Amino acid sequence: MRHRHHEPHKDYTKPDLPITPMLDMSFQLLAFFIITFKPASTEGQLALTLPKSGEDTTLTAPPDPTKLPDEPEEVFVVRVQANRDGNISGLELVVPKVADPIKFEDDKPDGDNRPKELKLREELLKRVEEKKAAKQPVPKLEYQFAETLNYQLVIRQLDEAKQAKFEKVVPTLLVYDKPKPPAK
Amino acid sequence: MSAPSESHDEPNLTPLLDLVLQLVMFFMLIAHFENEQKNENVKLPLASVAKGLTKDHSKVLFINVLPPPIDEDSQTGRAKSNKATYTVFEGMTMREYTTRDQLKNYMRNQIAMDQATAAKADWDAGKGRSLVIIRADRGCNFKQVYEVMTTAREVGYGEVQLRAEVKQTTGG
Repeated sequence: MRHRHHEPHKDYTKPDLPITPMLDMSFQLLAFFIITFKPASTEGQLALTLPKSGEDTTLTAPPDPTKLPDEPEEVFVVRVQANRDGNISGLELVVPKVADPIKFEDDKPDGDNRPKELKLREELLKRVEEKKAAKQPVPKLEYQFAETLNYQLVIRQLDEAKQAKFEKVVPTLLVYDKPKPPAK
Repeated sequence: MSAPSESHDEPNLTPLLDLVLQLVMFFMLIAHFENEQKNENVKLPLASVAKGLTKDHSKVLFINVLPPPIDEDSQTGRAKSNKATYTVFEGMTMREYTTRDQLKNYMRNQIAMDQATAAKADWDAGKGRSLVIIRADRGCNFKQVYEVMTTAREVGYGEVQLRAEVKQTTGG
């Protein structure tokens, strides 16, 4: 396919783009990006509401459940006790206007032997549904965690509260009613 | 008649180059060189509803919390002490603090820097403060994490989030 007859005096040279060095460089770049490639981070946060400022307010005893709350906002309190190994040893829910805290245990005389965490979760879900059905605002949920409680279990509790659609979740420290014996 | 073998017979590299450049492009877009202040030793707890950072948090302060090492000698498998290690970053340098006072000093300095860069009206309205993200190891206990939260609140930070690894839920 020469066009010599039509363009007799044009000095036609085929343009020669050096592909090979370009390819070399591209492979270098490719190798670099593959090596530095890390799958997208799957980390996320749990947003929390900080307890009110000032340590004195957080470290007070839990609110008296028999007393009506002064503030308009309703607060559910979950107390999570832990043993020295960091596992949950006691779980109870304090609901306003109810005299006794609802205790959750693994083994119940009524034969419901499911884990107490699961029972608490169902209770919370049920109460949120009730609030929503009555078109009332979802109460604030305050967690009082024992200081020895393992962090993974803390996160699991907060996670479940978020799953149950509690918007304001406040983690605080559980203060036992009776002073603990000194550690040393 | 042409010669049986010409010296110009070379493989066509152009499609290959196209492909490679596509791949380069892909990896360039995927790779985000995040300068997140992570301590890679921290094994985060798992949570299923953890959400990523939103755009309205421009300034983030990371506090990495590592539990004390487990006492090898004892049979209990518990830690020797209750002292966590806090890893923080100043620029690219990583600092380790072991006491709450050191951490508090660091956070004071950080919030002072926030205050210096924020407009006064914004600051007084409670804006301009960094979001504090606690990256605590799953082996910590609640007290070690709670101390960071109270410290953040004491120096004046308004928002604290706990970082967790997003667990893929299967079915429900």
